[in-house]
Amino acid sequence: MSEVGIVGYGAYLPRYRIKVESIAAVWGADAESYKRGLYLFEKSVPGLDQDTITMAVEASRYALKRAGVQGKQLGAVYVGSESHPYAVKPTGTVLAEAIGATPVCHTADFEFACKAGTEAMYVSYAQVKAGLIQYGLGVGADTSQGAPGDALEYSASAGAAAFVFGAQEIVARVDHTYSFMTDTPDFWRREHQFYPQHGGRFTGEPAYFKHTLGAAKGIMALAKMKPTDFRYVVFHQPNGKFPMEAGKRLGFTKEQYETGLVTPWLGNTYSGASPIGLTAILDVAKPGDRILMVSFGSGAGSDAFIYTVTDRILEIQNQAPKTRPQLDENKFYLDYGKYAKFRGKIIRNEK
Amino acid sequence: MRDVAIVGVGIHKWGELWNMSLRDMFALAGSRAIEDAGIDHIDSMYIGCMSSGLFTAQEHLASLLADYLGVLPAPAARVESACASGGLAFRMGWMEVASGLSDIVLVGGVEKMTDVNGDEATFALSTAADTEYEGYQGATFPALYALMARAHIDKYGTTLEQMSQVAVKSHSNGALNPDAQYPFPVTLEQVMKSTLVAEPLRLLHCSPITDGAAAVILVPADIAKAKFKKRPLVVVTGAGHATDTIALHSRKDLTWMNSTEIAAKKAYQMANIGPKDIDFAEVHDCFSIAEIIVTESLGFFEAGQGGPAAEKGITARDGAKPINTSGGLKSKGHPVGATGVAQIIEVVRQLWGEAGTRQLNNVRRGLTQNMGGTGGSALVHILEKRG
Amino acid sequence: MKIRSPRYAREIPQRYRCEAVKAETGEIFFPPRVVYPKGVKVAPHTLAQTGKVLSYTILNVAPMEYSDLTPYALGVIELDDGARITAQIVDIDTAEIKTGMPVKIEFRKLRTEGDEGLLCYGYKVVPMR
Repeated sequence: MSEVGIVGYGAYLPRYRIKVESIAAVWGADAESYKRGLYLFEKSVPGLDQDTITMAVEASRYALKRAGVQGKQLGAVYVGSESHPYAVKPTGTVLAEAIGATPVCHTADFEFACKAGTEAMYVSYAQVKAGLIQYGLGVGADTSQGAPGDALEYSASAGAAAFVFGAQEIVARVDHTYSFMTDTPDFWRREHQFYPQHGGRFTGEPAYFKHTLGAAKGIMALAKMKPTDFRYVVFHQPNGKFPMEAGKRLGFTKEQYETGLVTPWLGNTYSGASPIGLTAILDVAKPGDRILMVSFGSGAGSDAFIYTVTDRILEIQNQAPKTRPQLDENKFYLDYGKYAKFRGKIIRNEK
Repeated sequence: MRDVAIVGVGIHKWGELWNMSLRDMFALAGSRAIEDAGIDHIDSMYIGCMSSGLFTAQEHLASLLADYLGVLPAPAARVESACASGGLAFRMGWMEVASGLSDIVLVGGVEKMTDVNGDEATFALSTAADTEYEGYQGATFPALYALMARAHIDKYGTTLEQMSQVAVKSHSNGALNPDAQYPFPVTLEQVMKSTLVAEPLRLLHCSPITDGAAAVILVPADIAKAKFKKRPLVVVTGAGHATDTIALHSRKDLTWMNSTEIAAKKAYQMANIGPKDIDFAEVHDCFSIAEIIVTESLGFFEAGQGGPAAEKGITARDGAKPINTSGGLKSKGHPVGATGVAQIIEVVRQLWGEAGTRQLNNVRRGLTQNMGGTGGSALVHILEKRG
Repeated sequence: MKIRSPRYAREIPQRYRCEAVKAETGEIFFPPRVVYPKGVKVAPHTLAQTGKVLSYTILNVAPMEYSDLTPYALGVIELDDGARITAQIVDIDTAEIKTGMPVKIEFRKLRTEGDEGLLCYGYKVVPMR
């Protein structure tokens, strides 16, 4: 079977941020414990005119630009999120329409807590691999919310990453994929509830670590590789601490995981988390670099990918805005009042 | 074509008229015009109204208002051209009398704007812009005029003081108009420190939300001369009407009112005069910047000189070219459909010598300019005192 | 007045993808029309995605659907192909906006039809960095 991989990628991050201190001050919490304990400093906040759809569109436009592919060449548009703006009506149709992929295109919305983004990537990849389509787009995007005062409020943030998969002019070849999944009730949100519930410390060992490490070990065994075979590794990053811990336990070094670690300054972008981390790696990767990516979604499961970067990467890195500059530059800090307004946390009569 | 004269006018105190409905106001203004003219019937009627549907959930005004004015079964028509609806109604009435189709025509304008809240009124007015390509982007009328103001500032160095002076002048005139909504003077400082609405425009650069109606009676000049002798004969000598793109962004020049320029040229040509022959004018100062741009587009001042003209007092009551002696839309109020008709009333009253404490001396020729939206439509009329 | 499905759907090509029409004379028609000047050949055209601010204002008072956004900036934007649009200028401190400033188009949510209605998308512009 032919080689298939990423032919274009793009990330979109909103410019608004709120610092951990601003949230802690409102709830009488200790900001230092979040910064030290979870390695979390600030998070992105979507503007009032931004949502999963708008960020998915911008990230996808960047990905198409890097790929040199037109929207109408896409055979599939898949978008994973746990914050699709409509409860019923696809995110994918708006996205596909905005990038000119309609009408001959397969479209679906995915939902699997924080893993929905890599699902969209996996299915796009698989469709191309099967020879059903020439190009497929997989997007992870979220504008997630934690309940006011809950630990999740310090991390739940907004961002999107998009990847075009194809068989020609590959920039990161997919060498292996692997999925690891069980029914684990670590985190959920019932219909009509504003905010998710979670199992507290149960979200750690039996959920995040079991699946992330399971998928990572599984794919390395499948590929007959060990941590030293990789230049970079990126994990799902609900906070700064979990992915570092996962990396250490697997035997990866800081040099391998720090490039893709964006959550300490971005927050947890849920379906966008490991995909955005991957874009930050691709922005600086060199031909021949091998990358391990492991997502995690509550409920619970992990998708793992092994990529090998090709020579073409150098031609496309500068074709669209890079991830780190979006993370580090042109930031607008919000106070909690504005943040609460932006996120619809202020009770008002229905308009 | 027959010459057409105005032989009766009717208006009432404008404002937030909580106890008066659209039909009440129109019947009041219309009956006053009929009484003022001393006539016992009308042959037909034209009504200018922008948006009775959005403001009061009432359409089919022609029949409703003919009924409540007590003129059934006279033919009646409601015309709409946004804020120029009143001016357009006047043109329709003038055409009908000039053509010989009717001898006595009532032209009225009306808008009931306070039956909805401020948000809804802002929305209703915004439909005079391009709903899909301006309104959808969050444009409001103050915003669209602010875009013109910024462009005028950038191009000509027009100042906020100059724009503010327009409002000060209008209020000083309106203070002498008992029918005005806000008949009091304002200071330059009050204008310049009023609440920001759409930067650089502040609240006192903007015309208000107003309930009001106005009406006039038109007859052929020959009949006026023979049967309406108690007042000087005032005749329509020039009429012009033009359109432009509804979207401001589609215009080549954001600082110019093409429709006003063209309508004025037609009116000047018909009257066989030029802008310098106009003694005074009522113009559409929905925002202070509008008066500046309009007085330039009418040819009263060179492009870019409208602001300095206002600052130097040229447009004041005692200046060389008095503008908006009624108080203008700013002080008199702006019930959008009624405005164009009320402009006619002010010019007629000045020519009759019935403008009370704001009466101008030795005026023979006045002009009205009424426009819709950001200038997507414009009507210019020239009225002259004969004999 | 709430935007309902038929009105919204008709505008999608223009709002989402800036689809326009260009005449051989160079004139750009946005949105596309049914009738063009007689004898002039026209072809589909996508609006340039970058341009500059011709004029701008900052709204402190807005219609209901936009009132959460105040103060927001609105500009007349001249795109690099010469077409002009009215668009909100976002992602900038309004005090930093200047005429002539370079901007680019981004996909944003323009309005929300209450708690039950449509989410309405389209273009806005952001400063070029």
